[in-house]
Amino acid sequence: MDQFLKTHQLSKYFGGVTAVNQLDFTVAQNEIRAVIGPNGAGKTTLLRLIIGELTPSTGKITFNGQRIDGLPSHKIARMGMAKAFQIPQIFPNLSVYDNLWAAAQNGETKLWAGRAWRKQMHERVETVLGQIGLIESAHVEAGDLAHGDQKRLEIGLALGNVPKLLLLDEPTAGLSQNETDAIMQLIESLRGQVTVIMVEHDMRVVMGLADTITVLHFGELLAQGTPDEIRADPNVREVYLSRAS
Amino acid sequence: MNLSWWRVGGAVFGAIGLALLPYVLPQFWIFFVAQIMVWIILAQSFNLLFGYTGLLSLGQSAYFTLGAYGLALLLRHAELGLPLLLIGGVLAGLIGAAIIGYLAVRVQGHGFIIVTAVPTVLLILLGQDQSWLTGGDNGINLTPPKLFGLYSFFKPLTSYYVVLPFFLLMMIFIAWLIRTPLGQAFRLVRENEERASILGYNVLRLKYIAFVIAGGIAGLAGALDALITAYVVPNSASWTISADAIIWTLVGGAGTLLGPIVGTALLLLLREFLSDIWAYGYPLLLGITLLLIVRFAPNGIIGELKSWTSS
Amino acid sequence: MILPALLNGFVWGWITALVALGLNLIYGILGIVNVAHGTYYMLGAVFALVLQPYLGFWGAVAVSVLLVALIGALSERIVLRPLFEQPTMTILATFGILLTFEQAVALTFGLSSRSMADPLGARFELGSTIYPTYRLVVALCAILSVVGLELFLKRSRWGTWIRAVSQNRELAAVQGVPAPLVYSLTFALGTGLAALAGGLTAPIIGVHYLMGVDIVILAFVVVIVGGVGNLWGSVVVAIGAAEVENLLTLVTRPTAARMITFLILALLLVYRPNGIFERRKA
Repeated sequence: MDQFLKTHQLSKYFGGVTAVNQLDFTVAQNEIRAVIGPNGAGKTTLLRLIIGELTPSTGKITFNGQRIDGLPSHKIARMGMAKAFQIPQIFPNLSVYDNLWAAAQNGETKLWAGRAWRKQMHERVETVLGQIGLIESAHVEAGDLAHGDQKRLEIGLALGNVPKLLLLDEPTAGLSQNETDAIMQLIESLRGQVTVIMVEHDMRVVMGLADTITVLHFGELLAQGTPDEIRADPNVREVYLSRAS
Repeated sequence: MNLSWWRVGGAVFGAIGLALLPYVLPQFWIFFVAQIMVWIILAQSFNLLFGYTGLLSLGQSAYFTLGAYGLALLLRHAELGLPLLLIGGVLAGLIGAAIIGYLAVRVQGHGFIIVTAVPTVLLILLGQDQSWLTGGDNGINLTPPKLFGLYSFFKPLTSYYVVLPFFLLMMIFIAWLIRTPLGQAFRLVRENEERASILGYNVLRLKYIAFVIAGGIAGLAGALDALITAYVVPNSASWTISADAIIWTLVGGAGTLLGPIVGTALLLLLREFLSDIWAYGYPLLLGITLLLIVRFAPNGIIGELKSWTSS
Repeated sequence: MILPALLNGFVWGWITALVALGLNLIYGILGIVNVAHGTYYMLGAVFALVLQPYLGFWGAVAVSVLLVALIGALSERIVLRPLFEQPTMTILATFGILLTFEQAVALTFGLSSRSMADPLGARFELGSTIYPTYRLVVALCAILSVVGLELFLKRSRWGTWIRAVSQNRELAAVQGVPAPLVYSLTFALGTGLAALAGGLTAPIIGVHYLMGVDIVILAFVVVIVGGVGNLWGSVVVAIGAAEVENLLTLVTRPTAARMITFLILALLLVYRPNGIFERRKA
């Protein structure tokens, strides 16, 4: 589907500040899209708008053909969308296993849990544990994990309910070279199965993974294209890449 | 989540022990244990909200009183058997919580705590105002029906064997509830509301459901209390009574099943022993204990034990 | 009959305002849900009662306020400061404080109410009835205290520090404001105000170890409805509520009047959780 996630004239104002300004943004199914831009460009706000944490001031958002702007985030999540926060938002007193179980449960609050359902859940949790490489830590309390492992758990939580669209907010922020590589491998392994929208500052990650890159500046679209095109774009260079690490 | 055989075994053992306890206790203590069980139910009501769902409610005493009066008024004005009277009490608590909870759970942050205390004040004022109905500050003395037409509630044994099955039922209910997907979702609200929401959980609805269930549990405690003490009074809704339940739960360990049991039993027994030696000593000690627990052992007795054994 | 009711509302409104202001400072600036706040109110009355034979009424009240403020500062420093990052534990700790002081008083003074003589013993004519002068003096004291508080916060160095911390804790720290001092000072100020209210009302309602239990809930509701951090908001809501209640007593029973007033406040609390004076953002 070409317009798997689409925003139309999306704007968000905070008091006097315009975080996102009349943005038209489209992502195709199973694409890996990177969103980059200087601080304050509106990248995180865009993610928050998409998953319903924030309500748009104006504009529409469509997901898989359905209008989602204005819907509460738990409803949007159950439609098959997930987000990994930049600062890990985990359940600190629960074990890693229970954290992932919560994600796999996908907001289900029924009273009766049959054996088949439980089996399915166990399988899902174990799959994700393998994907994020935390099998050994399965019974550690999430709050006791090191930062790098918490970032991995964070992505695991986002993967828990088999999302169709995965939003990643700086998935490699604060990670070492090795840890970043591991995350990159993880995201690469999802190619073709999940649509990914990734906000990132690390250019190596962006260039290595993205099919298309969207560059935002002051909440507006500055440039969009393949990694090569973006690398060559003079506007982008001037605003962003010349300052990048 | 599997139920280990130890736990089930322990629970069965405990239940049998409780059932046989009256054979070895003098009359006074039989009634006392029955009373403890009633207060444990109130503590569990608070525990469900705070220990599991992370909602600090100062107002469970309101639903306790609603349950008590639900039973009392049904007793006065209708010819109903014991089971229906108790159901009436539970319903009173459920309905009260359903109405108040609808507004209360929408209040974010600390405002929620105060909002839960408000119905306690309103209820006491209402009780004082409509004293024709409620007996005002003097309350109402009840004449509970005889159990099976034979056993009078003025005998401690009757009270004990009526409270016991409901106590056990309540514990089984809560133990079951927290293992359901719904019950497990409550914990997520406590741990990280924002995250839970993004994972697809309707946090507001979860809070509401927890609130209503807790109200029903508190209502049951109130109804049972009315039955065994044969007395209801509006002042039982005072938030300081909620505070007692809170302290018992915290000392025992919030967020655990055993915590409220241990905490309530321990502290009430302590109070009883101290009342002979040093009447005021207990509340003073309680205050200081609370300060110590909060500072050094916030997980309570059971919570700290759990940390010990797992590390 | 209206005039005494209006006056009563005025007097009680200002007393409630004192307690609410103290709470507003503590809750608004320190973020502490101080359920023990009523206990400091009670202690204010107790100390006034105890000290009166030695210092006279006004001396007793003044010293009582200072004593309670000191106790408040110590409470903050010893009990609450270590729990700074844990809001729930803090609330529970204030419970502990409440119990400890409440029972210490019950231990020392017993369970029943003690009365305190009207320090002025004067009455004045009010239309067709007479009204105790002392009550007006109480209101006057309260007004002066609130004005004093305002001046203190706006003009004095410590007051500026308190305001700085309330607006932006980190920025204030960077600017060199000594945060720990501000915390203790704020708590002392807040509890001192409550104690003042307690001491002033002792001759009117007596002294009882449980006298703080109800006023604390009312104070919280007033603070939230008036807007946390909005000091004049608390004053307006406190007086407004007291007037409403007292005017209602003209048409219905006192308990019903109290209930209706509280219900109105409660509904305002639910529907305007940021206070009735909040300005809606566009």
